[in-house]
Amino acid sequence: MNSSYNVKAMNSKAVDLNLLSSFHPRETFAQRSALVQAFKFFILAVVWLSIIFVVAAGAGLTFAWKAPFVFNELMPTWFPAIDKQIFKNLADIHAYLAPTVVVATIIPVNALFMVLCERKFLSLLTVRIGPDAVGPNGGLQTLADALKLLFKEDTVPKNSDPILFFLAPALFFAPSMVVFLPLLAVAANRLGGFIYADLDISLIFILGFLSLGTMSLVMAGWASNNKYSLMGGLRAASQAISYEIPLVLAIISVIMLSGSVNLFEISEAQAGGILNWNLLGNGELPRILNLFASTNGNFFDGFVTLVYVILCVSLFLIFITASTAEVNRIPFDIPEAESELVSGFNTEFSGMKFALFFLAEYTNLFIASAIASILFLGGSHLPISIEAEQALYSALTNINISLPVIGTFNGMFEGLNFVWVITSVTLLVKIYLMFLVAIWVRATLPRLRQDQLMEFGWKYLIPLTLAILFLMAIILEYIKS
Amino acid sequence: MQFLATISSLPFYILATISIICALGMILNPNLVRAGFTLIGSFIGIAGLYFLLNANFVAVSQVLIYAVGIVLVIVFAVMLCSLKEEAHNIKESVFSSKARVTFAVLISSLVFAVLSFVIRSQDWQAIAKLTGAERQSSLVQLVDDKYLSQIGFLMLNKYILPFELVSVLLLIVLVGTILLSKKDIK
Repeated sequence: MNSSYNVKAMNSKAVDLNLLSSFHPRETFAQRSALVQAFKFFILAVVWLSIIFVVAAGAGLTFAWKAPFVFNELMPTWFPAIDKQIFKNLADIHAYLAPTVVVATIIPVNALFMVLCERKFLSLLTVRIGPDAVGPNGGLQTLADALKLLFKEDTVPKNSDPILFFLAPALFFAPSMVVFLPLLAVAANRLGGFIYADLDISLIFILGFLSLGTMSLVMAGWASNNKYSLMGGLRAASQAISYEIPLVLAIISVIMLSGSVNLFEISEAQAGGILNWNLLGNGELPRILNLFASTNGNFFDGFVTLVYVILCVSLFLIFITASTAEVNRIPFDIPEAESELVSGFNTEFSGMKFALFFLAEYTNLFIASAIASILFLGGSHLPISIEAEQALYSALTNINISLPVIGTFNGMFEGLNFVWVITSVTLLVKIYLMFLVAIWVRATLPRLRQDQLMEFGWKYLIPLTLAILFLMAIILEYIKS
Repeated sequence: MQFLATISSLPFYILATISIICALGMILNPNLVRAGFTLIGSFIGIAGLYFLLNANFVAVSQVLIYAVGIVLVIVFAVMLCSLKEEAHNIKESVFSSKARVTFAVLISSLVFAVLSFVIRSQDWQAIAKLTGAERQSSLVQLVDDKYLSQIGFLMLNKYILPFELVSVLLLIVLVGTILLSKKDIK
């Protein structure tokens, strides 16, 4: 994690520390206050998040924003000789392609900032400065790293299985790309072409395709023809199988709670303030006050609500734990435990193949954070009342911008809908808050041993989640009636 | 939309080709692990076909159950049997190679016959033309809004016995696996 300055000086035999510091005067952490560091990190995060948002929105807008208007209204007037049907088809294709294009642009840009964010925030937590040489406050460090990985030599070990070795990184990356699509429907509030990305069973879809990643890890481990890689692959498989059960059971409880398997509908059900979030019992929290009004004989009602809210919070914690294990993060990163397995399943991979593994891991973490924030933290809704949100939304719909300069293009700027800006920014901020929690966990907890991991999963987590599922089914019957 | 409708048969042929090639690769590949991975490819191709037919839930179940399941098979293949010994053992099998091929052809053609009989027995053209109320009463209920809850309801009411029998089958498999892997200790 430490960035090395002035490689030339470091590589020469006589490294004079004073000389080094005269090349690049370094500040230690103690010289800056923690508050200044945190503020600098905040500025970095705001800048990078707006870059991510602008890139993704720009890509999406080019395809989804009034594409039908351009193709159906403008193009035929420009090229009257060409059949109108062709433009209609082009408009359809553009609308369908919009989510895919956004996914293809947001994943690399987002991963760049996620890695940087992890390194900077981790250094904050462990009282270091972190990367600060490339760009302002180290803001371009990961860009340089990515370029370096692109130009690295791609080595294939002797006696490896060449086909599987070639396929494994790509097949690890592909599911995370596919799984991104339904999230966009939530983020863009089903705008225009993004409604095609909204599957009716998007939650199960995400679970199903995320589990495909395990296959690629086993494939990578097997194809490398390296015992450490193989062990890493096998560990990945055993871990994914063990922790998928509590993850799915926790999600089933949430599905019972919100009565839908569509992420957009689950997000909609939590509109209207923090109390309506699934984390705090989807709006039932005030019934706890019945505990103290025992004169009315409603003590039982208050008690059941208390148990219910505790169950909801514990479901959230279980979900975070299990999804951390699913995406192979510390403290559950035993498939690539450096102290035991060199680097696990990705030991033999170099250059672009390694970059793909890296990219996919961070994207998976992003997706896990996104599911956590949609299932428990209100999804794409602001923590304000439904009325205020509706007022905000109606102010942002049907906006007409008239610009005299652009003439025929004016139709493009009529009846605009900017609700997606609010929803996607809200979701992005929530996802990054969840991501910061994941980094915090990483900075705090040591790695588990393989047997500890299995024991924790099978002996504690699964029975606990089963019990919660059972209790939740009974309590929901009572609460919702 | 019309344009997309005209090219919509193209994905079918692509997916069908993928799944057939992968299935052939699974049968013809002597390497157990590679065969497992090609089997996953075949299942994913079939899942894609389900997506094309608008049966999203079936498609995702296909991926969720089979992909991870086959990964388990591969892991067992790696852990439980040494691959060289396995290749050696196949030659000394109880049945001759001819008998095995005959059995395989017999069983697969039987499955094919049953499946094609079931598919043929439905008049799909007529079902596609049915309106909402008629469709509800017909044997095949095509996709509607609440099909997921319908699946759950039917599974725990009308088809509770097969559902439980499948669970018992899983239990038997679990016990059998433990028995097989503990063979040496006995």
